[in-house]
Amino acid sequence: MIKVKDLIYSYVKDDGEYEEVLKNVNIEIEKGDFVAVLGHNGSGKSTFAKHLNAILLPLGGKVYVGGIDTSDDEKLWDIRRSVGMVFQNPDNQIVASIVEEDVAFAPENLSIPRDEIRKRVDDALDAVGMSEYKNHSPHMLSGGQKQRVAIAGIIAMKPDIIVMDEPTAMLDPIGRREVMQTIDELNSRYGITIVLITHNMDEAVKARRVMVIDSGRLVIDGTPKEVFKNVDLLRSIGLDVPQVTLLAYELKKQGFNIKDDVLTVDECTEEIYRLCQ
Amino acid sequence: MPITVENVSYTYGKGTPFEKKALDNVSFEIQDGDFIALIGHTGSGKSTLIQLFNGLLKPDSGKVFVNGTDITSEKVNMKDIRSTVGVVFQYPEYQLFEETVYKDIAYGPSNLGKTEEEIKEIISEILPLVGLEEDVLTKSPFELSGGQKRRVAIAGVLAMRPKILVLDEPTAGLDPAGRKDILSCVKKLHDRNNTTVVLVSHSMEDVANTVDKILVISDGKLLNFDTVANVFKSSEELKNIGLNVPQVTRVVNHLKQKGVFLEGDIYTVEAAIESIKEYIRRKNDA
Amino acid sequence: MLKDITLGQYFPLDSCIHKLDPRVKILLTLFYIILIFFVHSVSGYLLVGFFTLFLIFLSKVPLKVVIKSVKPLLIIIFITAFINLFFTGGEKVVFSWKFIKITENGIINAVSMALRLVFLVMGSSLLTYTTSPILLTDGIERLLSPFSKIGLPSHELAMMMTIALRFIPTLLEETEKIIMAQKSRGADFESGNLLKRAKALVPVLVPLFISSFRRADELATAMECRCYRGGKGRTSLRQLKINSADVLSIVIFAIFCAVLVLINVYNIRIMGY
Repeated sequence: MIKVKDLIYSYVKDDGEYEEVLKNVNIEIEKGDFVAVLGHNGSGKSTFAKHLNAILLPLGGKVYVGGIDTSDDEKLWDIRRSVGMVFQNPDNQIVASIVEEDVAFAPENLSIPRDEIRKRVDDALDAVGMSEYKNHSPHMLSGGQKQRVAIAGIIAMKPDIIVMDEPTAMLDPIGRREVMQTIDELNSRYGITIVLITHNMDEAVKARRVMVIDSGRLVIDGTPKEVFKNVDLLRSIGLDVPQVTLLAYELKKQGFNIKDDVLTVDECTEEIYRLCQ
Repeated sequence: MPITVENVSYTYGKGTPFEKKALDNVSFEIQDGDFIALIGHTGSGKSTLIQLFNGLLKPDSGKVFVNGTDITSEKVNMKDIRSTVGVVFQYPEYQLFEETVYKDIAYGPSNLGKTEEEIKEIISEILPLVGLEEDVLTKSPFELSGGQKRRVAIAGVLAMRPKILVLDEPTAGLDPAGRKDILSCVKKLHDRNNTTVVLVSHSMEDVANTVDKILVISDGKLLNFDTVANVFKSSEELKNIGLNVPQVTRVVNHLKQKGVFLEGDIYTVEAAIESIKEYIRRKNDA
Repeated sequence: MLKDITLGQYFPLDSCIHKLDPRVKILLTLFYIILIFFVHSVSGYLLVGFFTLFLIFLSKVPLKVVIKSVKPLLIIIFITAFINLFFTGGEKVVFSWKFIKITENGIINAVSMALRLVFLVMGSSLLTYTTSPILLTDGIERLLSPFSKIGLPSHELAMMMTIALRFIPTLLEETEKIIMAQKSRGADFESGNLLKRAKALVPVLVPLFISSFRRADELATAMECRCYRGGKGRTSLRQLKINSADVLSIVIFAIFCAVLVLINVYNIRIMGY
């Protein structure tokens, strides 16, 4: 679905110097996958995300989406339609002052006939569980609800892939849960490929595959269990692991016979229970 | 500097269709040198409470005393209150406006009428506290990184030398390293200067690792105000209002259900390890 | 809180006026405004008055609310009346003192100008009371769309209005937050002379501008990600349809116009005015 080959990108700084943000990144993402891209602020993960729907174009290397080169000018709108993008601040991506009007924004841009727009809007709001708010004004909604409206606005384009750039960073725990649940459902029920950019470990754990980016390079790539084992490495690049993973890791380090790929409270309970018997 | 909140109620938009009761007869007392976490979900009344602490809002009924002074009275000098109770709002970097970091940090103290000399002294004193180098002072705050901007903003409040510091989710939006930095800076401030700190946070793991006491607020009512250990004991109560206890505490609770009773109040990884080791040792002895 | 203020003073009710097509309402309001400047007689004003009251009654918007809408413009209305009162020439002098001279024409002009402005404000308020901002924007866009052929950016104008409506509450909320933050840093917005107060606003305005630019930038990217490329070829979720109620309202309005014209043509006056 997505193929990133030798991707290089740099910004021009204020003093005219180039700063390399992405250094030779090679990644392939399968259709229907749920990938979390982890990295601290400034690691290059957002820059990477922006390459997936041609907001940024590679300075070196290539990015292919469904076989199309993102540098192909003629295919720009096909790429934008098939790769939806959700950003951090829900306030700054909602255009209209009525929820359903906003969800209709993308299909309107795509010249979809009216009846079809109606259906897409209803389906999209249903998919994120916001149907009852369709006539509300966005500024009266909670952060989590706004973000779900923003996601509905993307679903209405019927994208194959949705890239989420820290969609929960500005939300409270309830909003986070709502949004993560929505993301999970989009992936499992609707088969949409998800690329979740985050620095929140508890969210990355929910993905099927985790890629860790540090100073423009892909440093670890694997299942959450494989990735979060590397507690020391993750901590050294300014990331963290879930508290239960850390607990298991520390116990193992002190010589206890415990699995070191514990990710959830239940797994951890099981392991310690076994240890205590 | 104790803060006493006495039977305080506050309603937004009285008489409009948007009327909402934000605080309902809340009373509690914060002691000198306390390190408190204020928890509750969005809309619980947390933000309203913060604004009452430094007189930005006046309660509809009830009183707020800061160090014995009734700050709800008309006669009170607002500048005194603002310099006693420093408030760092959410995403404080959005309040930066000056050309240089120095000028921005100096905004608060100069509003209080401090002289140029005094301000200089204050700034060189608080810079290391928030982990900033001298050379940022001449830079524009807008060319700094996100984490640095936040520290400048916090320094801007610290420069008023508050005896009580209130921080509304100071780590929001930061990555794990950034969070750790800010929290340790707040902790340092409390430990070294004995500043009373009220920290609003959504992360129970952060709360467990930093504060001494927790104030739980839900639907405008005070639900609990106790030590970290005691508050986390009532994990069901917290769950009911959409909050959670730290992951390790949940593990300990699950173990209890399975018949494994770990000793002590466990809400950090370190405490959990000690307790597990102790449990196994006792088991082996027996 | 600032964000709770209602925007564009829309009064969400269920009335036949609310249900009318926004295009019809906008056009009829325009005609209404033009018409009231052709009224010259007491009988004409009485007719306009009754007609306006009738519309307010139909809209179910409380009369008090509509009258209140005139309040912010009272000063302008008074000034206009004042100018007309003293600076209209005429034969019949009713009152004179030194260089001040009030003529009968002056009084008539002052009263009729004031009445016209009051009706104008009430009529256009009724439009905004009964039409949601989004429908209003929609209506304006469709009405202007024929002019896009001669280069009028009707879609862009409507888009700007939509975004403004969407962001006004957000920015008001943000302003409130910044004011609170700066107050906490000892800012004083309430005391001092005008210059001092204006200067005190800098710490509010600068962050507000910076954040607005950031929002604009992010919104533009988000819109691009949602395939926005101008108004060309855009379809629309909302359909505007003229139905029988719209036709009926046009007919009633036409009758109102006809009666007004008759009053003017036959110069029907009450007690000579």
